[in-house]
Amino acid sequence: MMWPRVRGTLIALLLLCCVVEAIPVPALRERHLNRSLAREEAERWVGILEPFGVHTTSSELLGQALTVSQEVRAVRAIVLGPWRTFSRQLKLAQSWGLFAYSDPHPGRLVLEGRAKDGAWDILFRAPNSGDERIGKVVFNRRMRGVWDDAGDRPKPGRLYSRWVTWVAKEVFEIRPDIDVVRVRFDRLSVSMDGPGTTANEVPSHRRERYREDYR
Amino acid sequence: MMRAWVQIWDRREPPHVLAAIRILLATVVLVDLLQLARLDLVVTLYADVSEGGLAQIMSRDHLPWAYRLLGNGPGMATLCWSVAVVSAAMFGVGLWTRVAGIIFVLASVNLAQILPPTDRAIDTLIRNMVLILSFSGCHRMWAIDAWLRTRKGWDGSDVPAWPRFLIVAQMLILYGSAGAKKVGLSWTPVGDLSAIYVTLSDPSFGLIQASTLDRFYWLTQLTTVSIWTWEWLTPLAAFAWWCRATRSRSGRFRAFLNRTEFWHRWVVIGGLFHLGTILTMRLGMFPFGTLALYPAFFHPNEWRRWFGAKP
Repeated sequence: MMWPRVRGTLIALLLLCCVVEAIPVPALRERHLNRSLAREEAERWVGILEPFGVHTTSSELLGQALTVSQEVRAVRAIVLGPWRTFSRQLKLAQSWGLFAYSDPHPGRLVLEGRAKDGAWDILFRAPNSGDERIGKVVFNRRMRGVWDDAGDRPKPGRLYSRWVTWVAKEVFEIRPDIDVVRVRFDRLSVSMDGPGTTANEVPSHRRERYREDYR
Repeated sequence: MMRAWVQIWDRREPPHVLAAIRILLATVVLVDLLQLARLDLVVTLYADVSEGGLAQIMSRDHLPWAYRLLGNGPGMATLCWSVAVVSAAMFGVGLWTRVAGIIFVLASVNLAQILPPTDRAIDTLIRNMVLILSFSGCHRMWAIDAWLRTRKGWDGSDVPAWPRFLIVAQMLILYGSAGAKKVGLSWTPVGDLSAIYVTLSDPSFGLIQASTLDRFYWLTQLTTVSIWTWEWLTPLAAFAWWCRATRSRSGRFRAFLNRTEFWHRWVVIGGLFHLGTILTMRLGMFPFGTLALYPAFFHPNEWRRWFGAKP
């Protein structure tokens, strides 16, 4: 008779921890709020709140969001302390987004190759145009996690450079006619004002690798 | 109240659903892991830079547990990946199911520690679920363990129902939490409902051409409002699930939810959204992994009835 009670108590505690952890309090830092997505969103909220008599500015709004986020997170950290000691070891978590933040400025991965005659050719352009063999490797969900996390961000880190070196090696193996590989992200500006208003793509994070360096 | 709570989690039921989820999850995981070998990505993703990988493992303060135990070496990436594959396969066929499940969780944690960007939300969800299944009676049916024990696919005995309830709770938390996060203007009715249009325009995920998206902008807006409403209805769905289980009790709202089959409709719509992502987005195993958990939404005897089996 004892075990069902113990089990019921453990399950109640487990569910409590999971629900508290799942409460969507964004882990905001100032750098997040400096991003164009956050600034644009704040500007739009200022416009929406104005007719309801709430007079504020986008910087005030972002400042309040940061303060509330920090305070709530501090309380949650205290409540979840013991649970997180366990859950971090097993990488268990309850932070789910399912595309909660649609990014109107995503990057499009583009791989170019320069043939021996000096002409540049687009080898792969996300999501699916170009060499199918390159697309399959690059778009494996785990591999995409690497370049999407490390490269498609304001300042790509060292992992991005290592990834570029690796993907260029793959391309050199698949395409013996290519001497130079160029990797870049073309920054899109998807307009929220509706279709047909997307701006031109702006290239960023351009890196080049040379076949001779792999010999 | 405590007694009622204990009674809920003390219920028992046939193991069909738990066994099916075990097999489905293991299949999804195996396909995902074997793809890495087919594309020759195991060493690239899970070896240290000194061994040809992308991860700078050995210079970290906290090493992944396998590297901490065994150190670095030429075969480490393949070993780490193999442990995950073998344990997932054993879990799927139900051989030493509980041990295999726990080893798989540890192997998955290790892979996540090696190169964190390769570990996505679906990996977390699957770890959560395999851990629950490892403590369940999912090995009592359609498993080598069951056959070795009883020389039958199933000996007819019931197993605790709490693991299935926890799987449902996990899915409700997942959808509820995701819905509550969708307060950005692109998702809400006070905004322009452009979230799905913007998401599908992301070349890292979207598979639909920009011109097609532009033409069907209205449909993306309709989908946005449908997903947003569906996720925000999760608390009501949780209540409807409870009402189904207590349908003999009184209450107009309970009767209404049961009469309109709110729970069925909510589950079917959720499944359709995931099927939609399979057709329009490149998300790897995410939709398959979540759909593998959908059998938990209904009692095993309901599934048996739908498949024409005698209860």
